[in-house]
Amino acid sequence: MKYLNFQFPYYLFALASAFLIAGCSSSRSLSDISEQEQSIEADYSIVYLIHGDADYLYHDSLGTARQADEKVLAEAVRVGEQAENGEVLIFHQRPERKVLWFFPRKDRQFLHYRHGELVERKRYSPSAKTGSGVFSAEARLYKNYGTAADSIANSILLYFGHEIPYENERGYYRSMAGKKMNTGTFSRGISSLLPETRERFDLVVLSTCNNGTPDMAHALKPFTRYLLASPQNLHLSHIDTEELSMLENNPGTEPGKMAKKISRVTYRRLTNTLETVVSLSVYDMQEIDSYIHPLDSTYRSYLNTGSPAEPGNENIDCAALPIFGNQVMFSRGVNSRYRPPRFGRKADLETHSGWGCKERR
Amino acid sequence: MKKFKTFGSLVLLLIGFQLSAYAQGNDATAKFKKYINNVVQKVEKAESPDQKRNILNNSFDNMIDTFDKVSAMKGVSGDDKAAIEKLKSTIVEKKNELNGKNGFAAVKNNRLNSFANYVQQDLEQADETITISVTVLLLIIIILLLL
Repeated sequence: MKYLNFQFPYYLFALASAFLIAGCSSSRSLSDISEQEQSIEADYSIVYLIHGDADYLYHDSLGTARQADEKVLAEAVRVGEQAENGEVLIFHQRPERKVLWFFPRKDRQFLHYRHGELVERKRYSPSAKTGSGVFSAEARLYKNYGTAADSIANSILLYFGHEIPYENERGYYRSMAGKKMNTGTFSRGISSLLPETRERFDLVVLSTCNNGTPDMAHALKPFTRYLLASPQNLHLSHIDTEELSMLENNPGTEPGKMAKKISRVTYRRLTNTLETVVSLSVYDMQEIDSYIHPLDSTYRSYLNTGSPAEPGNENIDCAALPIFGNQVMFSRGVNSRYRPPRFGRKADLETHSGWGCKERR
Repeated sequence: MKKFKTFGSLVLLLIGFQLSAYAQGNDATAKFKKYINNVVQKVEKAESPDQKRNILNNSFDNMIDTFDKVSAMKGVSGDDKAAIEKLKSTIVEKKNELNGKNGFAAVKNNRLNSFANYVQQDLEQADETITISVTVLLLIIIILLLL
């Protein structure tokens, strides 16, 4: 016993050293993936980007504490297991911890399902090697593991997280306080995840608060055919994605139809369980093309005049801003579902244009 | 050997400190959200509308008092004071709505459970709701739990 006590600090030191080394060690080289593995065909490709590097704790209707990002991860895994004819790539951006402030612990998680089977599972970490973009590490993994075949009829990207700020904002990643996240860095990050064989995604889903806005739609227009987003707050229980299983029975489903179905199912669930606002908009990028540029320019001019909008404030309906006197002018190509909050100052606002804007102070 | 031992202890201390600081940050917000959830649970369990109203009013008052106390403390930064003020105004707005003040119609007796859930959902869904630093938030929670 005395011998054990004497040795104990050394065992602890050995354990700490092993922990340190594990944090620094590299996982399997990305270039290890064989060409054969990459060329396996899939009818569709779904990418889940799940931000978990912030506070995502909420309580469900029974009062049980839940982590929204973990709930989405479980849902994404179910979609992956059911994807017999497609592939599902899941990136869970968990907080980046470091051993002794320097050595990354590879806390993020990547899961790759192809034909319903988990073909890859690894931990990773953003590093200088992968670039400084918000999704550089994910893009690198995507390029190495994702199916690059022309067989893919539908390519969908889903992002789950808090509101992507309009302007430069640090602190979006709590464990990487200096990393900037805004409409520009986000849209560039999304473009870096495009498969080489495609010019744009069929559908991008933003399960975030307040991002159904002129600036976000304008920024993502070159990279997707349809966008599903919320112009107002969206509760942490998030947009339902299990409807994506429709791709199994109906490969090549028209993405606009798919987006509307996801919106309809989510709206039904959220209006049954929430007292806060429920708003979901599907934007047809081809349809909004004729007016999105002037709409965004006018909005930007408004924001840049006088005191800027207070960070973190909820959106208002763009139609309520005096600069957009006639909301009919930008309703084309927008399929909006809206229910006002049951309480609060906006409980009486029965309609919504489908576009969210920040209000200048 | 002694140097080796000291270095080992230092490594362990640093790892422990780092993990503890990280856990504490998450813990503070979780505790605040738990406090709100306890209020919701109490409201749902209360039998009469008067009891429900009292629980909500007392909780709002406790929060508002605590925010004032902490904000007045020396050493609380300007950023924290602004964040506390923002959170306080959210709670004051909810209290006004409950009691039909400042332009609101009072929440009806048969909708008090829904209103309590609304308060919780509104506070939980936006990351920006709670932007107070960990230390100050922990202080708020300690005072709230003592009241």
